[in-house]
Amino acid sequence: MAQLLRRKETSLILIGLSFFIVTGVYFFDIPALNNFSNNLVLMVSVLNAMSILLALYSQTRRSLLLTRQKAHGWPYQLYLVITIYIMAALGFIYGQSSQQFMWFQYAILNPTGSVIYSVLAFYMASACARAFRARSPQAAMLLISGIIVLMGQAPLTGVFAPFLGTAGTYLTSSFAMAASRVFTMSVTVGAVVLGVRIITGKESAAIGFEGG
Amino acid sequence: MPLVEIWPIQSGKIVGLVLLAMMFVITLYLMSGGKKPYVRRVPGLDAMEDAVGRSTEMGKPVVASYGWAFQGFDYWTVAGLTILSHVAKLCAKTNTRLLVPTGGSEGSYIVRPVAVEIVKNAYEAEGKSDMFNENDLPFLSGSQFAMGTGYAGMLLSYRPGSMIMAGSSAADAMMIAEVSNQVGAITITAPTYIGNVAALACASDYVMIGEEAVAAGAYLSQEPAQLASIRTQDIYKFIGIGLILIGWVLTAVGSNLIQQIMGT
Repeated sequence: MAQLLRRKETSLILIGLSFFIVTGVYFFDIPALNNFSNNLVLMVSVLNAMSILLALYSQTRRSLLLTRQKAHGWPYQLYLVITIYIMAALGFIYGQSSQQFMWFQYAILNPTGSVIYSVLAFYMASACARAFRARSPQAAMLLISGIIVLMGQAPLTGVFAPFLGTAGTYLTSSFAMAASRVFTMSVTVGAVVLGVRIITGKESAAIGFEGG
Repeated sequence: MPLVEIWPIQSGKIVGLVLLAMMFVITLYLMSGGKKPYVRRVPGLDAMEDAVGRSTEMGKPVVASYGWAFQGFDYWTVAGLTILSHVAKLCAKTNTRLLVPTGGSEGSYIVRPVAVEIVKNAYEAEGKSDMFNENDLPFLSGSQFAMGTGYAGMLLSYRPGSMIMAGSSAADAMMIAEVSNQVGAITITAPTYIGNVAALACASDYVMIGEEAVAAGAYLSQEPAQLASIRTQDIYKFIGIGLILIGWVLTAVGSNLIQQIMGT
């Protein structure tokens, strides 16, 4: 049985069936198919939950092994395991919405996340300073558009040059919007074609069956 | 209002179903043809070999990732894994160390074992299983920004010769690409979020936009059947452009026929 489940053909059949069932519900109004699809989605949720347990086991084993071997960065591995189990214990004892459990979220995760997010502005500025050079007519257009949109969103521009705000809005709601829709459409078609390649077994590297 | 309704197809979804079915049929037909079509060059994908080669010459590792996998196995992640598989093969061939930071979301828990298997298979396919080390695929964090800082930390510690970041990513991708640039690595990215495209185009040496990353598997394989499947994308783009133009003209003369047909 294990051999059968590990076969590439079995995986491809399961992927194909799952695809047709889940997609079928979107297009067809058949109650039996709908029920089956709901059950399938539920099964996937249960599998996901199981995979988190598996991830917990494998991460604990790996971190403890690296700690025992005193490998590079082992104190962080130990810290990771300790915090995972502290969080799990707090969740089990006090509940997921308790103050004790949420303390890590509010006092550590959210503030550090916000710091990283705000630091991004400096990375963007340094990347723009390097890339925004008017070397060609296209680059010059990009640079001018960028400056208009940037200035249009700055609070002081509204007082000194209100037309820049209107021009910036025009650029983002016409050209940028059109580009964004083209991006979405081309990616969607590309994703369906990728799906066909996977179902027909042409691109099995992505599901872990061959090296490339 | 839909023009026609056919049981058991849901109201307003007939045209969508026909378009999807046509897409399947056209792709399968083109794939069975066996002719190698012309596909334009994608600099980002072509540069991968050079990027790995550069790392090999400099004696530095390659850092490659398949994304944060926010939705688990979504198409971006699958595309990222395909690219990872190619990079792993190149690294195995050239005896170059490959580092793959993993994590970034709760969905990444189920993707990581597949990524490990892909890299392991690539080394085995080249007969170099002894070079595979699971510790080179560290799980950094299940949280987005912690993963981002961990990734940037890895780039600063190992100072790789090249960095290839595919698959789904978010705001922190900008920070990673910029740090990669600062450590002197060739930076190849494939942004999935439209807001990231412009930012990563500034920070990266090569950037893959939209469908380029999704078509990576077919492009890199250079197999006629796989390359032929990319043609479907072009055919549908022409259909889309045609519908937009017809809809534009008809709307200008006061008709909503295209909206009605598409809503059927």
